[in-house]
Amino acid sequence: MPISAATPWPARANTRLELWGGHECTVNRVHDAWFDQTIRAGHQDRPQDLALFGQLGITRLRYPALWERISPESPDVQDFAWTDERLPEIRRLGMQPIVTLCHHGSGPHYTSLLDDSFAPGLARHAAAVAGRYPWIEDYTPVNEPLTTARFSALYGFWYPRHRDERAFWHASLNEIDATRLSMRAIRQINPAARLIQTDDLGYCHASSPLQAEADFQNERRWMGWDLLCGTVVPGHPLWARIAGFGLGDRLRRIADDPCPPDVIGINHYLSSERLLDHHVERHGGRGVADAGVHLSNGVAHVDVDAARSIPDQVIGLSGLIEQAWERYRLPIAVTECHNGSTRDEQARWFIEGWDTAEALRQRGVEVLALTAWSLLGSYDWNRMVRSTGGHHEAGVFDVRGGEPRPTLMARVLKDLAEGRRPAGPGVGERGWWHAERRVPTIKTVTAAPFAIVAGDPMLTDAAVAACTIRALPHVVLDTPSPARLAAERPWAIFDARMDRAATSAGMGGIPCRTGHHRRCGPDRRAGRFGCRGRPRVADRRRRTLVRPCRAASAGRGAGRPG
Amino acid sequence: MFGPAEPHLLAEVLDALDEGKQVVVDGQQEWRGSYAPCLVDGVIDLLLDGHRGPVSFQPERGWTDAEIARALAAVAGHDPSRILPMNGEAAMTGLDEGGLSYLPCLETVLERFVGDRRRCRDWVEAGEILLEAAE
Repeated sequence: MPISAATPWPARANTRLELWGGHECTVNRVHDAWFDQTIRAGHQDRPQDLALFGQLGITRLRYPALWERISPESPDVQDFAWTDERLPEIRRLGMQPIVTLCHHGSGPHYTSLLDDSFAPGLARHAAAVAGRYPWIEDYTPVNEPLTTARFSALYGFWYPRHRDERAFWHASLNEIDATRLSMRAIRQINPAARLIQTDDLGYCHASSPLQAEADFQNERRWMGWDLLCGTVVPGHPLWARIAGFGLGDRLRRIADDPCPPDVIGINHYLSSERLLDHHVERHGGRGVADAGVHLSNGVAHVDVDAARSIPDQVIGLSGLIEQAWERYRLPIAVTECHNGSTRDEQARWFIEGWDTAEALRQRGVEVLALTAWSLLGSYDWNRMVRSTGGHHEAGVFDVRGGEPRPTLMARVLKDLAEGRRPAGPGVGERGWWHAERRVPTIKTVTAAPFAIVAGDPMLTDAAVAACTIRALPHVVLDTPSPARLAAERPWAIFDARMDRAATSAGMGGIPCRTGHHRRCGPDRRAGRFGCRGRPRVADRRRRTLVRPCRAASAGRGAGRPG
Repeated sequence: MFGPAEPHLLAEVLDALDEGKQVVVDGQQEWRGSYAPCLVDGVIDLLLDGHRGPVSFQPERGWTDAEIARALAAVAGHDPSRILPMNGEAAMTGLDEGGLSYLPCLETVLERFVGDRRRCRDWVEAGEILLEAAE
């Protein structure tokens, strides 16, 4: 019996663009180690985080009820204590959970993406979850199946660490079967359950010798949704290629019993749009032997972010959503929107995504929501979570202090959810990924500047460079006289003078004080390296006092730049 | 504090490694440094957040010169065995302060420093200025 959604998505005419959210909840396996971002961010032991999420204006919260966490040792033993505490609380706070059952994982130790037990095993887990929480309507049984299959079976990053195309397609089909069987099991309990199917959606550009590879990748990016929609049949651009691996019968079975998504969930990052370029020397002087250089049909090339290399050619989120809309004519949500960068660029990325979604809705594209992803930040995605390194990307809340501290993004999200235009320092400029940001321009700036009190040359230079790169209007002051500050009306002051006490800047605010090492005491090594100030053990306490000017705070509303 | 252009331990080590040399460093001396661009970005982020109060940009732990040089070599794509410690080698255990630092982790800092330092060298070799005055 073909499976289809029993409850269509509410008509768009009655809804506004929704703000969805989610914390980075990946549980991925490398060898016999599982990396759990929920634990890493501290959310494991902080149910009170949910109230903070609710205060942002989030209507639906992507949330894990992961197979690996609930049945880690045996499919017969399930521990729902953690989700019992949280899923009802999410509903009580006025949010609807979108439950994820497998988020970049390969399942518990007793299965794997390439094991025949994966799909029926996840379906069994799905039935248990739906049985325990029959009121939940929205599910993502397998998050980003194609990305997970690439990382686990094509690139060898994650378990089971294969590196061949047949294994990739095998893993992909197992994930699609797992999704189909899971939704079938869920709908036997809750016929109204909806499938929100996420995957990374990007685009691959290429120099001429690599165009065939790019064409293939640009077909491959659709395969998760195509398979679920039952459109991978003879005549599909990739049918013959996949069938050539002996998987034709499986394709037929899927096409005969499809499970079309109720919502196409697009995860789009600055790194989603790629450039394959055989001009290796143009990209940081990497040698062919570097890990960043690949071979495709004998052509050595780099695979780099298009936004950094060809910013004037990127399609961008708007164009990609339009492609998905033309292809499926199904409701669309941006199910992950995050930029691992400085705070201002994070805000610009999200606001641009919101504006894009609103504009597309005006043109009749059924975009339901934009999802603030990584509410609590993420760890070690710079190394694809293959090991623990400590790299942290701040999210809407910064959890490095142990408790979530709202960042600029929290204010931005709340404004958008409540229909206000975010304003204030840092959010008005276009993001660095726009081509025009690469061209120096002279323009009149009316926004309140960031004031830098000149002092230590290295620190002053660093501050000026940071403001320039981040497109933050700034002014450098030789002396922060009250008259000058009154004229400039900065939103914050950065005092780069050495050994300054924290004093009033004349506007009621206290300037940022950077009391870095008091003296550059020449140690016994300094002469050798010409070191001008390596702190010694006794000098290692260093604190910085940060406080914005009152005048400014009253009026406030994927990757660093290359 | 250290920057991308000034002479200091990490700059000297990276330059030597990039030139294919072995590097002798002290195995006893403690190294602690805050990378100025990371510090400044972190400060601006906190200001944009509206954060108030004292914060620390002190590295959470210290390293010996040899430890930090090997970490730098690994990040820069060089063989860490080219770092040769002298005076024996101490382990910088027990120096953790346990406080929260708003600096990125060491690996992230070193990745950024390596890229910045190499760009600085390229610019200097090309006869270009590093940074113009702001006003």
